[in-house]
Amino acid sequence: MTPPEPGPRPISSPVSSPAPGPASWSAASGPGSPPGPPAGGEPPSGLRPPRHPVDGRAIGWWTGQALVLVAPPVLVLLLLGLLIPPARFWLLLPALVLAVPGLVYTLVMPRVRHRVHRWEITDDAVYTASGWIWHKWRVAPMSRIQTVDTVRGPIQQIFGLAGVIVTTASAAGAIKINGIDRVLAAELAERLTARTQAVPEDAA
Amino acid sequence: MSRDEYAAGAGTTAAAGVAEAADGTGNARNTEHAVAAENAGHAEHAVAAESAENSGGTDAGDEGSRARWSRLDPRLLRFTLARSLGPAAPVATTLPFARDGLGLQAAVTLGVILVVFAAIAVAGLVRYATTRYRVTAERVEFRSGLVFRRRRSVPRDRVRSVDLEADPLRRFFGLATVTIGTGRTDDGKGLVIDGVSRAAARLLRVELLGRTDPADSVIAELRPAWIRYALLSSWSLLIGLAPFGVFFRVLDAFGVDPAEVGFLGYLWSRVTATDPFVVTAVAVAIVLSIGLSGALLLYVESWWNFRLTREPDRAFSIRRGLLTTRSVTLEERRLYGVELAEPLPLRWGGGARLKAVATGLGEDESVVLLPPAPRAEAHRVAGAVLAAATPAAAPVEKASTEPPVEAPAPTPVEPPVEAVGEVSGKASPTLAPLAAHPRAALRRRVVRALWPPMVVSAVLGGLAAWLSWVPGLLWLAGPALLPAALLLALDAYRNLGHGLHGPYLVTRYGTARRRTVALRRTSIIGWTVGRSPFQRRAGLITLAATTAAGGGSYEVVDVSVAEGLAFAEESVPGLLAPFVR
Repeated sequence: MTPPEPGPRPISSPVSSPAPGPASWSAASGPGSPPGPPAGGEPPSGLRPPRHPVDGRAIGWWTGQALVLVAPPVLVLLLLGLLIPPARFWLLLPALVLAVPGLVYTLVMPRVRHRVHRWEITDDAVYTASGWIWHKWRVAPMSRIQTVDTVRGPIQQIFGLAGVIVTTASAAGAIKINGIDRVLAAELAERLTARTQAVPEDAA
Repeated sequence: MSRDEYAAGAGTTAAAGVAEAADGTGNARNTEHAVAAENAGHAEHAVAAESAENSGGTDAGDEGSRARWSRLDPRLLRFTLARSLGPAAPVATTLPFARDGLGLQAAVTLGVILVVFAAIAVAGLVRYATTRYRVTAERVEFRSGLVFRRRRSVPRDRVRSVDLEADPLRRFFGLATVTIGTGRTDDGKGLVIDGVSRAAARLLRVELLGRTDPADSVIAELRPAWIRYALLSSWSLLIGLAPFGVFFRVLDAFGVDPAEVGFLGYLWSRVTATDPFVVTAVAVAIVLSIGLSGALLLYVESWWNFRLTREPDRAFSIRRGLLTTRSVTLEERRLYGVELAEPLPLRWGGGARLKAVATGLGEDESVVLLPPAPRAEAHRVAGAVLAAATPAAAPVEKASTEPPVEAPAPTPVEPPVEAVGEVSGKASPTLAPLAAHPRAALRRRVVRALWPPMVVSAVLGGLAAWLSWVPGLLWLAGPALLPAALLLALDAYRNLGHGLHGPYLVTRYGTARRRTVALRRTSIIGWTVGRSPFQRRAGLITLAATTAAGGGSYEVVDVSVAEGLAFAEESVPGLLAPFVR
């Protein structure tokens, strides 16, 4: 995998400014990612999309995930259908019924997601957009971040990708930035950790 | 074990240990508690404490805080035997007599039951023999187990709650279960000490929370007339059906065919001979009467003696229960808001329930602030509780209520919220006037209401066309449902609302169960904006405030984009603004 060039860079300043050096964060997007398409999935007119798209390789990753989900049942049914001639029709029919929407899912979902999924980290908050049919925009302030983890699933590893998981005290779930270059992910996690230590944690 | 040892185990409360440290020679004198005696058992405690300190080393350096280890109450032995041998005895005695009449399956089932009861009894004895606990100046320590040894130690300044519970059997033996909570959600239930005497349990609470026993100001108390709301419980039907389910499960477990049971066969022959309408009416009546009386009993059992009080050291205390008594303490600073829930039947009857939105509870736990009661009472309690919990409205002085020990118990005081004065003493936030949602939200609900009648019509119509014995006019059931569905849609729309009331964000939604949530704005730790394809066409979003308390996030459903974002900004200034264009 091609590691991105940026070296360690101090976070701009602890002063609350909504936009940090945008160049600094976008430069880190890595060479593997194509220039992000403009407004990903058009958020509600009032909410602007987060600044950075996910890596272009994420399309491959999501395709892989979709295949892992769709392929095994279809292949098993196909195989059984070929091996058991008397039941062929009743095995190949469900295989077809599964395969057609599965194929559409495998082809469409990754591309839609790639247009929608975006992320941004300012000095004060983490902001992400995700989803493909149901869209979600999430904001968590730096002062409420509890832990910052990186994850690399098996398929993500194949594509040299990783994710950053930012948890807050809420039981509603962590904020995830998935499908970014793994070197970038490590760097983001490091900076987020440093940044959350710099920002005093709010009570509660 | 001698009788004297028992007495020492029961009487030696942790409090005594702090007041006067054991000096390791067995001569420690307990001046505070007359119950504790100086005897053989005493020396054993001191030795136990000594050895634990040598091995554990957690207390190295605080010489003055050595406390004696306390055992569980010896009545736990009798309790354990009663609980396991009691039910097992009849089974064991019937086994030899019924040997010839039993099938293999039944014999195996009974054998397994006996083995399980025996295992429970042994586990209980081991637990009694191995469990020790003590309260030192700095921490609560607990150890238990023979094979799997557990040691737990909780710093005293982390103790957020001390809850007592006693089910009927424990109450009979004078025992209680103490749950010491630290307010951390990843900590499971906290430190559970099961099987201390009730007196010792109360002393533990007084010592750990520095609280004298009687409650100070009563916020709410159960009134007998409220029992009528039990009849509006949504559980009635389930309760009514449960006995039948259990009955057939038992028959199944013992391999008995229902048709072979004499009176069932007789019943069945009578049923088939009677008019189906009469049978249906009787069945419904039976299920309903079981369900309703079950709901009444459940209400009485759960809420008997219900009292919500405000304690002097900034905590709420909830006591309730007829057979199983429960006592829960909720610190005011853990309370981030309230949720007023009105399931449809209860709402029709003019009632409501009230739950706390609080941190430090498990996933499925919730602290009920008021059982089903008149709606006005629920609003009044909501207002009283929130006014008390609003930081600036609460009394600031707290030094006098601290425990006498020098344990540091820092109570982080939250920064005062702007516009606090609006709330204290005035109407509850749950009564605040709320902004209505756009007409598009009504349209979504009407469209949703059209689906079920259409599906019902199509399915029933299809059935009628396919099967000759289904009446051909059955498809009319769908259209008949339509008015009710539309009324529910209208109700759902009218229930939608959001607004700000001083330091609280208020949102309301739902029709089968209407919820009105008041959430303290300073407790909001993020926003989630969600949008489905249908919402996108309608120009709506669902705005969710994430918080550490309760369910994790509370939604403002189907609000227009501009209004929702403006509302988020107004609720928590500066959080969402950088991302709005």
